[in-house]
Amino acid sequence: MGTGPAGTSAALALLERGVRVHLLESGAAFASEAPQGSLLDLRFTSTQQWRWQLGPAAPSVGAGNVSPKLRVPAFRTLFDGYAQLNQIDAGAGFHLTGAIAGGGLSNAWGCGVASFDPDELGALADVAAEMRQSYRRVSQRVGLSGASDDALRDYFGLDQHSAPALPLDRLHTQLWERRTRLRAGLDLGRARLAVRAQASAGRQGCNQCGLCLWGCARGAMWSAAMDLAAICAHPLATVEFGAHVTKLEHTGDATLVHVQSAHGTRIIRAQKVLLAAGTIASTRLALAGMKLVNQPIRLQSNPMAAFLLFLPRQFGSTREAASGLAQLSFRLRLQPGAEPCFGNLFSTGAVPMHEFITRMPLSGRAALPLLRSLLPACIVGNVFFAGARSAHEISVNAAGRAQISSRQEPSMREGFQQAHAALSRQFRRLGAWLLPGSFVPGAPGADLHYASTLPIARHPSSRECSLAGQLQGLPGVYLLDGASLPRLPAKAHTLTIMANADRIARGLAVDN
Amino acid sequence: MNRLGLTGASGYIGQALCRLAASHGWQVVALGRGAVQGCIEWRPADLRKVPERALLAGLDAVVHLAANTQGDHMGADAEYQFAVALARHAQAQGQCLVYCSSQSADKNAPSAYGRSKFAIETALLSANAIVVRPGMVLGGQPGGLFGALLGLVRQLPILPDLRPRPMLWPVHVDSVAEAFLSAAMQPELGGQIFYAAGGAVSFKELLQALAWRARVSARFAPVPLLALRLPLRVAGRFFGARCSAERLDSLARLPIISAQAQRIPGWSPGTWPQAVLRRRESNRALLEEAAHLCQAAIGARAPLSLLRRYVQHLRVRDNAHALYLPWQLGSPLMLASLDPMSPTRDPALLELRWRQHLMWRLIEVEPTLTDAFLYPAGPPQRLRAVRDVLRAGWRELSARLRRPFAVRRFRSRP
Repeated sequence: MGTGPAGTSAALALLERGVRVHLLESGAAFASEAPQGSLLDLRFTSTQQWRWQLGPAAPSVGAGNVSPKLRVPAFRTLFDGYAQLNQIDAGAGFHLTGAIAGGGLSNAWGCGVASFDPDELGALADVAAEMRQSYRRVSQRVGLSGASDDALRDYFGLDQHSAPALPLDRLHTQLWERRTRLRAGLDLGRARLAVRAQASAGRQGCNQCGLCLWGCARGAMWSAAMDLAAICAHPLATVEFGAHVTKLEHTGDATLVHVQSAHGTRIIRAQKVLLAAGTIASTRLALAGMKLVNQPIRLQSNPMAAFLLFLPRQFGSTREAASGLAQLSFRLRLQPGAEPCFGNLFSTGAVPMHEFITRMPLSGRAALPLLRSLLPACIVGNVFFAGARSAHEISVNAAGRAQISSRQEPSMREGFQQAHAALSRQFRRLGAWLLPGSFVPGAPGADLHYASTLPIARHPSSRECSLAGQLQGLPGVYLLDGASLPRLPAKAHTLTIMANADRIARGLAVDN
Repeated sequence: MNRLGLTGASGYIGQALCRLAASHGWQVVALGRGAVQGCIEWRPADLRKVPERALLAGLDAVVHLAANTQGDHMGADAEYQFAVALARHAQAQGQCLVYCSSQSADKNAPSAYGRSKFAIETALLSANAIVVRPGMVLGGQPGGLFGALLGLVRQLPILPDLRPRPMLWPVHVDSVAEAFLSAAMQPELGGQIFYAAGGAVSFKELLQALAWRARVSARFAPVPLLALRLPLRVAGRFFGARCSAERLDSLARLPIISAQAQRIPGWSPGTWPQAVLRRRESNRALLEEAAHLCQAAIGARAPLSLLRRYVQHLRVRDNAHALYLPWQLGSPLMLASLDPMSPTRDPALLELRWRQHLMWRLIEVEPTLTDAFLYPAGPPQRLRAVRDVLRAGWRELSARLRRPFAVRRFRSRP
């Protein structure tokens, strides 16, 4: 169930082994409406910008502390109705986002990739060799770039599968060239991305057009929708769109999958069910299937903050064409022995200026000339904390609805302050000033990195999964998505989810 | 089918009520001096003669709108006798009577009209009639005082900004008609006074709205009320009540209608300035609003395509009524001065901010306005950037100096 990164990775692994696969997807096939050309050119010339930047319907305006990606009109069909369809009630303190379309959230992601080291893998370290193989397979299929002999080479652990990094723009080049001035605590490296640097396999290479926020017409940015297209064409695969799984029921020897679609409701009787509907949707189905009513379990996400760096040496410069994805990444150690934070740096060019105007404590008429002069000399950054720092819970009520509650973990305020101070100090050494008031924590859940609700464990309880991915409390059901990740470090986790799904599926194919 | 008797059916409010009642399935019977279009029947009645009981035969409810506007003593007496007899007949036949009084009705009203209305009210309340006091009735087809003011605005090059500023409680004529019809369907409300009026606006704001409707520029000169009183008193001796100071006094001393004043249950006056404008939202108001927002945002005129797109996006939402910013807030600079970040629960301010954000997004995707956001490609120019920073500082300083006035103006809107 699910055709996001986990679902497609598992499906491909099974198909490769000759196993028939029936994929159920709640949404429709996602048709990308990414604009073509170069962002800078289009800004000055295109009279149709409003179509892909605003769309015909009333846009979701407002300065909520969430990613601007969530306001892209082309992604509206991706996100709209997710909570209603999946019967999820998020509390006021939790920003919930999910995708209901072929390819899942990877249609709108930032393409950040990383592998987990043995410590970060947790129980999965027991199958580290299999995970390495799966990382290799998945990386080669996706097409990575960013390989660089830098301080984060081992942290990312993917350079052996990656093409060299994409070019840096002028601002990031300044930081990069001065990186030796950093003190202990901050390591700077090139961003590792699921982006093709060169044309290959029917996809074009990235040309730094700057339109990343609105999708990639060149196919350089990987999305699971690409693999889904290949799956749909496979003779052993059937993909059913608009098929929403509402319930799982375990009988003595099989699992009953209740499916609602345009043709009505039906029940599929299955020996093995692979759940890859996204952490929250999968967790809801699993908890309801196990009849664990009103028994909250922990849900992890990565607390995050965004900030703006100003480079005085670049003041007065004009915009240049640059990628809208992360160009540099960093690892930030706030305390010895503590889990490090992870962050990325981006060009401001690819972020609409109204995102900044509406957040400034100035009148719009004043903010506009100020930002016009400053932003070409600014870099946007984000920083993520490890999932262990989050404090969310998810439960299912008697009606089968998932409820998510969130509270600020007591030490996070201090954590944000420490991160703010450390980043400010360190980047100053590189000639970049963290602008006052620009360090803004994101809304809880706005990171969209939901994971580790029913984690894989060495000796799993009923609310955990075995190393093979099977949920102990619901025999025959395997969790492939972030729900089964043992741990959620600060770094990007999608590739690890895909590798784990690949590993689990291959194990199932062998059993088959 | 219900039958509604209506005096004054040919008048300003009468015509609106006639149309409304017919559209709600009522058969309207005109009780007056002549047949009226839209009424199924005409029964002769004259304010100067006491009506017979048969006048109300077969009716389910009666709305008494007709009034003596001449201000003469003989007419006021006859009007009183007419109304009392009408109420007696209605009470005897178990019919609901709704009487159109006036906001100026008061025992000690400065005008004979107000005193007369009060006397009639008192008599009718004891006969279990429902008394409705409308505010200043405006809008719709120009007529009555509304028509007179509209004519004034069109003809005078400079309009009087009366000081001290009289306050008025405008209400759209269609809203008033709704109030009367609603009252006619609720006979249990008998013996009470209700108000059919919106929030308070100043006389100057009213004239500004009328000027907008008439598509003329409004220029004002302050005129003390005292300075008008003597000339009007003199003119009144020669030209009668039409030019007397009594009306001026009545305007200046209108009783206040508080926000807690009793209104017909289930009825709402609508919002200012719909009271003077067409009830159906016009694109023109929304286009003007868009132009105002764009001017406030970047100090430049917006192309028509951008304005139309703004209206298009608003129409998709449920909440597409115009905000009439030019006279809610005055110049675009005042709008630009409002604090964009202060926490608020005021739904009007939240709506205004939403629309400002929408305008920012629309401006940013307009290629002819991209220069406001991006420097053209070329070598770095620090001087240009420094100039922009200084410009930003100056604009912010100006905005903060104007802010208290902008906030006060926004909060004092009706």
